[in-house]
Amino acid sequence: MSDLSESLMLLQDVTKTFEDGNRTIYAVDHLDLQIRSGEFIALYGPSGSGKTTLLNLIGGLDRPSSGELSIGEYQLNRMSEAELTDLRLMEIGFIFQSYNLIPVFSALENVAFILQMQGVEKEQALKQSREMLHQVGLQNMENRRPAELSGGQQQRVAVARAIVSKPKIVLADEPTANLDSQNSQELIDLMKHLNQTHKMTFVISSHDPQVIDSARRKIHLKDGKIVSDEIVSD
Amino acid sequence: MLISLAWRNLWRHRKRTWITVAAVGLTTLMLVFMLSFQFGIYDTMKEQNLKLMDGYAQIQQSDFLEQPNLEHSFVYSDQWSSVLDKVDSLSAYGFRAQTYVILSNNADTQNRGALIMGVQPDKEPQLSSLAKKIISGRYLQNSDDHKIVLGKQLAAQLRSKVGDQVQLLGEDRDGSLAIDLYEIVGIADTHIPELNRQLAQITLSDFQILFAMPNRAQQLVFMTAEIGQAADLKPLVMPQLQSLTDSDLRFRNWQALQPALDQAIELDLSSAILWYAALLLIVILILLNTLYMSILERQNEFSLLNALGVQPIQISQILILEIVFTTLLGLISGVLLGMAVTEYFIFQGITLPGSEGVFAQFGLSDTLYPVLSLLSVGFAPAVFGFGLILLCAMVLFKMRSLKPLTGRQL
Ligand SMILES: Nc1ncnc2c1ncn2[C@@H]1O[C@H](COP(=O)(O)OP(=O)(O)OP(=O)(O)O)[C@@H](O)[C@H]1O
Ligand SMILES: [Mg+2]
Repeated sequence: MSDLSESLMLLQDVTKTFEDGNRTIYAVDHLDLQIRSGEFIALYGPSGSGKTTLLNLIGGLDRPSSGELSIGEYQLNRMSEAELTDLRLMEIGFIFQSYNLIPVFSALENVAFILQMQGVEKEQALKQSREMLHQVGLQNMENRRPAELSGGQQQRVAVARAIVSKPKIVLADEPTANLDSQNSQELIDLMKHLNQTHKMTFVISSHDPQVIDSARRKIHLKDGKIVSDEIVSD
Repeated sequence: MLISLAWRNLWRHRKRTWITVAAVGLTTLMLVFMLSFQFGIYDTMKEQNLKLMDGYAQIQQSDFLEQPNLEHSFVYSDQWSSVLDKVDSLSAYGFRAQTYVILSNNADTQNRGALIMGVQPDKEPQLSSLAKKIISGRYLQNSDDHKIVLGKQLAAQLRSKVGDQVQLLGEDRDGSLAIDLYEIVGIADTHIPELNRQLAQITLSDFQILFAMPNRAQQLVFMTAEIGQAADLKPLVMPQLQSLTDSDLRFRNWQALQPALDQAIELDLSSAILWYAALLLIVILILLNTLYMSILERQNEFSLLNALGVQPIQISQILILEIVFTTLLGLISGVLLGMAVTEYFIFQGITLPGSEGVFAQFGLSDTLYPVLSLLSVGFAPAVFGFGLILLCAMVLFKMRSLKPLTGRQL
């Protein structure tokens, strides 16, 4: 491992099971994983291999059945729902495959919303959000509602919102699944750029070779277990 | 932030918002008007009923209500007028006395029992609408001596007409025989058969002489401009009048004078309230259902907010703001419109077509005037306020089980 930056997240013996009738499904199966600050990670593997489940656990959207999970000083598996919600607000950025944005808010308001919920003054929040939209290339679309934006543009707004509050980690579950290859590439380039310029940590699950190829660290999941974990040096 | 989100959501679901506002507003409007209309009917019923004979309130000898006989009369004096004339809200007052007698006609071929009343002819027209229901001859005058007014049926049964004489046979206050001849000066038609069969009036001074009860009466009848003012008379007149006489006086409000009317109104009102409450409950159930559907429909939206770090309780606040705003808007517009419509009819009056005869039978005029009251205006808002609590409770309940959005829900 050539990367010397500090450890951000630690998963120890994490398991997530689902009951399916009388069968127990190990969606994540006794998994150990360390994520360092500033990494750009692609999670890949066949459908049902546990990518989404793992991201949900990392993001505090779901709780592990067993094992320890920590982000910085926070022990996720010991936190209450309300604490997890606060943690998501303050420390984690999310980009979903679709239905990402609040439909009644403009692009700018969607980005500023998180900041305002965090308690940032409205003027300040709008200013920061405007800069962020500029960075993702949407400077002219501030006032458009999500319905007035293309899929690619919506995902850029989602990216802007995910990173505007400088979270510890940004999680994206198949962010390019609904985009054509050109829009996908642009989104990947944007995320890579943000990763490099802001040293922001990204974990992206995907089937998309474009995404996987662009990642510096590629984690291959199968049946809830890591089958390979390689770091490409640039 | 949350407020602006709630506001935007209302605009986003414009149709649903307006339908909710309209549902609440129209129901409220309807109820304000219907209840006011009902109170109008009650007021008309009370007015017409009480104006016929009883007046809006009375002072009686204490036992008169239970046993209306001559023994239960009180002594009054001219000083009473100086007390009563000072009361501004009192629009008219007059003394009365009554007892049962047998009337027979000139030829002594027909006898009938009747309730003979001694009245003050100059006061009576303001106290009782009977004085205005003379169909033949005239009403009594102060100067009349041995003159009598009879109800239509009674006159017919006695086979007598205006100008004929009738003989009156009864018992005076001391238990001696009271007998005298009276000339019919007028015949009245009250439209109430029972009254028409019994009605017989002479002047109070004739009555006092005939029944040996000088300066005595059984009833002091009060009229005020509004029926509501009558109850306030008690403290204004009772203490002074009681101090002027040795007789034991009692103040009787209209409910005591007409308990059956009071009960009928109360019964009618409570059944109406029950029906209206049921109607409102149905509307509230529909609102609950609409809200439930809309929460289900917006589950993804709420899950997204929660995933982004908005606490369920904050999401509840957004929803509750939405509900409170729509309901309040509906209520306020409903109340205002309802009051406006009611005011219009208070000004205009409502004539029910083809109802003249029917209403007259019951002594009602055919034009009704609705009455705005706290109950008619406040009933729908109160029940909807209760509904609002239910709606909010459901929101809080549903939001408790809210899960954050995950990649799998999409
Ligand atoms: N809520 C659930 N109830 C039951 N089983 C579940 C649930 N969520 C996930 N699973 C199961 O857990 C396993 C992992 O699912 P997961 O969604 O994490 O896979 P994935 O790698 O994201 O798949 P895809 O590439 O199709 O998105 C699957 O077998 C799935 O059927
Ligand atoms: Mg998945």
